[in-house]
Amino acid sequence: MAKPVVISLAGKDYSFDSVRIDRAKLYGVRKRLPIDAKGEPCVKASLTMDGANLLLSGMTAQGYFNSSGTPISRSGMIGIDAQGNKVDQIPSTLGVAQSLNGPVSPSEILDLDIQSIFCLEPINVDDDFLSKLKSGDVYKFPFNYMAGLEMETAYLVANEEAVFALVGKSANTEWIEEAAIYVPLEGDDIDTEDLDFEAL
Amino acid sequence: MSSSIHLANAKGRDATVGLVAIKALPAPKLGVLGEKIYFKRYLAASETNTHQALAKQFGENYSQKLIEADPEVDIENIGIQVEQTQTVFLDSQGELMYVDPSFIEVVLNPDGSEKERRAPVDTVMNVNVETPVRFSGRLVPIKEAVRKYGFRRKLQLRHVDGLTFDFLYEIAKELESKESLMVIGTGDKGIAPLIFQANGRPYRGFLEGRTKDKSYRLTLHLSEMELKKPLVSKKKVTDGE
Repeated sequence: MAKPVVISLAGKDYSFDSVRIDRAKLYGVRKRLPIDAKGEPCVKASLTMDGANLLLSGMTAQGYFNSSGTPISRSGMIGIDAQGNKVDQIPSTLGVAQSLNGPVSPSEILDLDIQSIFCLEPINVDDDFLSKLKSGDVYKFPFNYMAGLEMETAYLVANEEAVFALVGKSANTEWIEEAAIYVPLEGDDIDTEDLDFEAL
Repeated sequence: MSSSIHLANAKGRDATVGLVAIKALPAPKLGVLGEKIYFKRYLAASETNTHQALAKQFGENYSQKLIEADPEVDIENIGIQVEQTQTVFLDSQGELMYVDPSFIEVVLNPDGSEKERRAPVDTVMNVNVETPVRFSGRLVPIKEAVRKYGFRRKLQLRHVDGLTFDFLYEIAKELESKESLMVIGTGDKGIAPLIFQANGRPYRGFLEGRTKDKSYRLTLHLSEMELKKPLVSKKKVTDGE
């Protein structure tokens, strides 16, 4: 079991268990399976372009090499940013109290390039804070599920179902002026039914 | 993915405009200071070195053979760099197929159990076709949208000439004034999902507009899921009760 998400607001610590969610966990998933003439499942493989090697799952490996072809181990590598500067590893924030910032504008979430979404189960959270979240308050805090080369941001939101952390990095959106040219129904009724995500 | 979208505004006026994916700036990467490194795929085992091949040759308990010699290593081939490959299929007998296989679609429940098997249905791209993507007329306040839907992808709409600048700027300004996202989609009512490439994932589209002086940002937020508690987690709570 992963360590809990711990956040701190006005001197109080709150903790949650976290479960990463995606479409497959909520609605299931569709997969296309190849079948042979007998209707039995086939195995997907790769053939090298010279036809010399048939590659099945597990027959290849990958890694980093220098220009002379010598393999480089992960432990011999460091984080490097776009300017070529060294970047230190940032540890996971799980189990370590992170300061909560907010309430912030919900629009901030629209500027986030969301990488992952977690459903949070309260372990130690007071009702007052939960009711603030459920009424629409949005908070943010630094978040790294695993150690990495940069800190991500999590936005804490809640609805009638549960509490969620939307995790990602700031999206790189441009303001578009008239000179920046991109080169490459009147509905009868306003539909009021719930949008169906199950059928997607 | 389509790099354009054929969009009709609230008045039914339509235009084809550009679509650009919005991403975060690239993250730092692992490397070696002052040295260029390359990520490569290489051969780790050949057909004669897999567990199945060794078990077939020596029987299931072939550990002593590994100690006595190195039958698991193909000295001639291991380490060969693998660049371009061609996808092939092996039939249920392990023989190379010389005709394309058929496909079936398996639908799995959230818990991984099989729900049904059916013939797959091909879907077509529908965002840049003769019938435009429409405004549904349904506005979702931003405060509600971010708590209800998971937006995992976003695209920026870009004008392609002076006329489409006015078209998009006006949409952005109108949506900004309402502090809401407009649900856009295909079909008569504008609520059918958006598909950006053949057999691509269907998404619900939510359009957000902002303006600053004479510039605009019109962002199409795409969602394939609501913010819901997963069924497994719900079951755990019910069991606990």
